[in-house]
Amino acid sequence: MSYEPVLLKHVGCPDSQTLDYYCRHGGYRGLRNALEMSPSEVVEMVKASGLRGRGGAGFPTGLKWSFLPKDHPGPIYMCVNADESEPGTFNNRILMENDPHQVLEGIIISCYATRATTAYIYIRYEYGRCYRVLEKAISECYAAGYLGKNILGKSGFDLDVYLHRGAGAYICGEETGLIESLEGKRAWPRIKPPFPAVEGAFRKPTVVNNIETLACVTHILARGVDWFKSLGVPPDPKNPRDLGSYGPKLYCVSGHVERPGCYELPLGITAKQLIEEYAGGVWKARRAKAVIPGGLSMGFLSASELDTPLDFNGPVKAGCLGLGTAAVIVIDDETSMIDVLYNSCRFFAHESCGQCTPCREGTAWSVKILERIRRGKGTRDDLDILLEIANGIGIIPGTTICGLADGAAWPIKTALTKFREEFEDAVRKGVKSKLGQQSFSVATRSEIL
Amino acid sequence: MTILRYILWLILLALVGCSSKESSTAPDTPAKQKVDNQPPQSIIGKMRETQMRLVSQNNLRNIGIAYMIAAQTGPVMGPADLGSDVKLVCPRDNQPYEIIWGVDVTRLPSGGRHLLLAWEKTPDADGGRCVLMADCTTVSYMTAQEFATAPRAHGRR
Repeated sequence: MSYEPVLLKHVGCPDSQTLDYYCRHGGYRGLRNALEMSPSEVVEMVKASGLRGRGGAGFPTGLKWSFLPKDHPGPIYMCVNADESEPGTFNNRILMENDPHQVLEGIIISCYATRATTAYIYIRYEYGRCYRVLEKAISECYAAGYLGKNILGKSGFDLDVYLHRGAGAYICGEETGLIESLEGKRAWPRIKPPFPAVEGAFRKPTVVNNIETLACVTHILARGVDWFKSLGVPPDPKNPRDLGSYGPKLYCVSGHVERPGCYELPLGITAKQLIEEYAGGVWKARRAKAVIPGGLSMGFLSASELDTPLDFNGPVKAGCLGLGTAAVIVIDDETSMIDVLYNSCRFFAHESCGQCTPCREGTAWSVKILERIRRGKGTRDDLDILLEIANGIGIIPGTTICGLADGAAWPIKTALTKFREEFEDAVRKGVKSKLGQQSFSVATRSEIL
Repeated sequence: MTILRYILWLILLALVGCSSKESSTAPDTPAKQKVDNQPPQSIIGKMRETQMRLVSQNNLRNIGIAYMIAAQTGPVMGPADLGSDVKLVCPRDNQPYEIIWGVDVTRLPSGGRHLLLAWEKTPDADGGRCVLMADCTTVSYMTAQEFATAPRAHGRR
């Protein structure tokens, strides 16, 4: 497949972080186009493009913007979700580190469209370099008149952008958890409604968008709706509710592949194509046993499901939670799925904020059960209990406030249904994990920084 | 030390209590004037009404967002589809909002911004009421005449 990258076009180029470089290569053209339109026209344009959020849920961006009250006296806030904590995901980091002005242009356009006068970039604590690069880029924007009062001479269009370092937890990436954390509180997700568009940060209307989503907005305004819709997958005519999966997508490939990395491709490429044609295939000439299609919380595809298109519908049809962040993690055929699932459960148990009992208890007990299985002491009943836990926690069964529990449940559900034999075999034979109990170390903050 | 602190607090409270009693009996103290300068009851009622209207409009906005989110995956046939946390009762009259169920808000001509989707059951003292249009985002206040002539979205049961 021949495709000219757009979002990653300047990645790796010297000085790609500077305003001078960005403007020399056609930067801020989208913003100039936007300022010639009214804010509502920009919203309509983004709606018409079919852009769906790249952060995980895939909600239509233009529609999300239109939820903001039209007659609100303000202030309206824009929160940029750069917390990027989903395991396997690193596309936001690449965008922020290498092309910060592309992101900032998207933020400015989005704030113009939504009439937001303040934008907070909530950046993952561990992303120290991103913070420094963005800090410099924001200063350049203020100096050049892209931020501040009357931006580019547009009377009444004022915008201030603030960088806010995250609190170092997975839950801070949840929309309302992020808002709570931004307000200086513990990042406990809020009950919705009120939705952030009605009552968000500091009890004012707020829109929360992901970094990649905003980078796409830049190109929609610069290149037009037709260009955006020429990429990706149109809606399924058999499904009247399908919104299609348009535009470019940054696929993060990691795990057991020869060439892990971030690949920009139109939405809809299959997992097999992505792994074989771009990521160099499964490492050490092995075969794939399972593939996580969009970040750990989406569940697993089995080897027989690798022809699944990685658009907003494909993984759902294959029993996964969704496309998520399109972080593809490949697991080879020599890896124990019990170890993989244990690692997943440990992560979610560690990251559960503890606010909802089903999530706090469910994730913790799933780790204990998997520990028992890994010690060779598991029973068949343990597998049923694990499934019962997974079916009972999350927004979908209606027992939790946020989707963390759904993200914890889906790997369990898909692993136990698609790799049932391996689990039953391990339980029957009492096989101990070859990796031991302390195989997955959690890096300390000082190690990361 | 703690006991001493309690005693000091008690003395302080007693002093404050004495002084407030004195001031309330004095006819020309600032506190008394403040009571006299309070806005008339009619204005307080109007302020309360405006506040109620804002709360009700936010409730309708939340209903709209929940309706649209639910409509992305299937027809919205009743309160259960909106989720358990959506407020479906108007704070002004404690009556449930009138909502047209089963409207496919994702595929309405012109986005449904001219069609009524939900509204307050009873009118306010002026005869108007807050309404939510079928684009699920527009919330406005309609006079009795506007409301009577506004077209309703077509639902299905």
